[in-house]
Amino acid sequence: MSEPSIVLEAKGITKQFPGVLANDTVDFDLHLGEVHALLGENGAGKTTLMNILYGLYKQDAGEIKVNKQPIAIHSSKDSIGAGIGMVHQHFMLIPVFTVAENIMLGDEGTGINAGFWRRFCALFIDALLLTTAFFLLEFLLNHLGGALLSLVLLPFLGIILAWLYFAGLESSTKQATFGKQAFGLIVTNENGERLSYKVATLRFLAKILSGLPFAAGYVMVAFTANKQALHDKLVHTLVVDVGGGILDRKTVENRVRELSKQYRLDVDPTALVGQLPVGVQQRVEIIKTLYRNANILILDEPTAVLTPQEADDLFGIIRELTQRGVSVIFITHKLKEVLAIADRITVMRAHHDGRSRSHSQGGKKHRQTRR
Amino acid sequence: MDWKRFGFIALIIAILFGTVVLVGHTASSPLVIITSMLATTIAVATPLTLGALSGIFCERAGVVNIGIEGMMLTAAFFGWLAAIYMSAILNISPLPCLFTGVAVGMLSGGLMALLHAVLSITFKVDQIIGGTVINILAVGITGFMNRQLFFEKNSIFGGSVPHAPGVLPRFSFPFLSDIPVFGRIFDQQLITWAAIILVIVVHFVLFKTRWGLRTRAVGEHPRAADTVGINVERTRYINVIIGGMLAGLGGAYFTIESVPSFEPLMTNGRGFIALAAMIFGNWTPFGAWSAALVFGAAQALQIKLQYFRDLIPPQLAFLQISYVVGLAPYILTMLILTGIIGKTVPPVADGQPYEK
Repeated sequence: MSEPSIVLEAKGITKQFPGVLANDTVDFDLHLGEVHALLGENGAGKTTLMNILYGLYKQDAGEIKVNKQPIAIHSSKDSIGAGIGMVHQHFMLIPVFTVAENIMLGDEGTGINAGFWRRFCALFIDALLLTTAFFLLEFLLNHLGGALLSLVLLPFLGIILAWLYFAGLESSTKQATFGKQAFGLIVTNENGERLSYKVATLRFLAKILSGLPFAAGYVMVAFTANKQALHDKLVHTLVVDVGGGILDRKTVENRVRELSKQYRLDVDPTALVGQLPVGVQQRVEIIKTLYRNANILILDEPTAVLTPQEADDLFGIIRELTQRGVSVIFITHKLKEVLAIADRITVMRAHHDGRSRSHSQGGKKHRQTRR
Repeated sequence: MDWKRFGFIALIIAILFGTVVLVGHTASSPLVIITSMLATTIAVATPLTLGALSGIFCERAGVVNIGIEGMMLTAAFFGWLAAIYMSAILNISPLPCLFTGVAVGMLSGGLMALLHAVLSITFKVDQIIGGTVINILAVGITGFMNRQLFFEKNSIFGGSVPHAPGVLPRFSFPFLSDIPVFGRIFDQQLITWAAIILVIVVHFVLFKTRWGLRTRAVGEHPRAADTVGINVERTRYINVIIGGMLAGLGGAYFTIESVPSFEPLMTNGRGFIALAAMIFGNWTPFGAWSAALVFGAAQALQIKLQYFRDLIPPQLAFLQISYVVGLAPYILTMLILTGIIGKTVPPVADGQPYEK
């Protein structure tokens, strides 16, 4: 049997609160796909250790490694980024929000798929720009006469035309890309194949008619060497920073449905969390971590609030998760549950002087046979 | 907004409008009276609407703001001060001066809100006390400076108030304002238009954007927001300051849109009525706006009755005493806050400082 790969390792974690040494050089590790039970009486420092792993506290000393890489955890954002998810004993859910809103909170997505609003923002910017152009033109007409006018007006019209051209080219869903030739631009389709000018022009007209999204940016795109980079930057600014501020509930709801089906969690993303039973709320919490691609799941006293039936359901879910490569840290009081679910056990014990240490009980002794 | 509430609002507005029609029907047609009442209602509801929006921003993020009144008063004074200073010193056309006044008003409202934010978020002072501090401070600052700048001998303006640049112009909504009788409703001043647009914008921001979702999360369950990596304090700070700027815009209404002068205490409790409108509207922009319109209608009643005072029949003579009608908004506030028209649900963490 090969050595199990360690996904999470904490070494020498020490945490001092005023008057209490909550963790004293605690060592802890977690193998891939196992359920590691963390036992201990109240005040033994289990939750403190987990809160350190989840970034709610900062350890005074000690090192945390995820997938053998040491990481610095300053906030829960870092932990989430490292793939650690935590289901707190008291759920961190907002009762008046829907399931999907609770899950997306803090990680709402880029909003790139918010099709309507993306176009809306783009068109708004276009309208603004066209209006400005119009007034500029009017100003020029009023203040410049005859020959001078044509000198200004012609290049101006040229710019407008170039702008329309590029706007049309890139605004389609099938993104056209550019290549450079001696005389200017060759037009290629999304696979990099060259298009004839006839086809390109037809496409261009179709795209013009479908609106002028992002025209504002494309004036610049047209005159810059590194078009793709600028294009990405523009899309980022316009779509992610402006359009992305708009919630894309549909995409999140679909993702939640998908996850809920995949892990057999059975959660309706449009339901209000406050109206769900506790067991379902816990599943929402689990989906919340899966939505953030967590592969290390910390469950803090998960059965404390559940009925026996709900607890059995939870064990089924945990087995499902571990089979799919999620490693679980299971904090509990109840020995019966530990024997039922855990692959390995660590006991944390408070010393009389308030210190705590961990003792790992190894192996597959208590291992449940899996389906 | 449930139907009960909507019905109540419609009923009160109908009663208030009906009273004026009853009094003035011999002088002009009911339709004209109702239209002009509606136009006045929308106009005088402006500071209430903006104040309520200010409260929504703060309280949705979990910071109780009873300092709206103070923020409005400060903005009214400093906005006006900036406008007349600029007009007197630069001697230019009134419009830029007025816009600067509005901007300065919003800025001073934002600064007062910053003070409130520092007190209630960073130093975790009781938020009611913090708001009271704002209110008292505003009365003090504006009263003192008003006296020092304009009414003391040897002051900058030598004991006289310089000529004010007037009030903000009206903007007629194209086409709609050309409708024969009702067109008057669509002929409003700029801050009033801004308030109506802001109601829609705030609704959108609060319920359709990432920022709104996070704001509401912070006001409902800050710890939950914290565990998913949202900076609770920063979110609250920004929302309170935005709220202060909206209150500032509402304050600018008094001295830059309504009348071109300042007098001490001129906000006259409007900030508190705005708070009531926010509560009655269940912390939603449209709800708050409709509640603000009820209060606006009560105020419009007062204005119109003054206009028709010679026509008031003997059996309605008690209305002639302006106190009686002037009390209407305050009586309505109390009535609404008793909760007889249904309970409202504030954000759960409203008023609670967040301890990490």
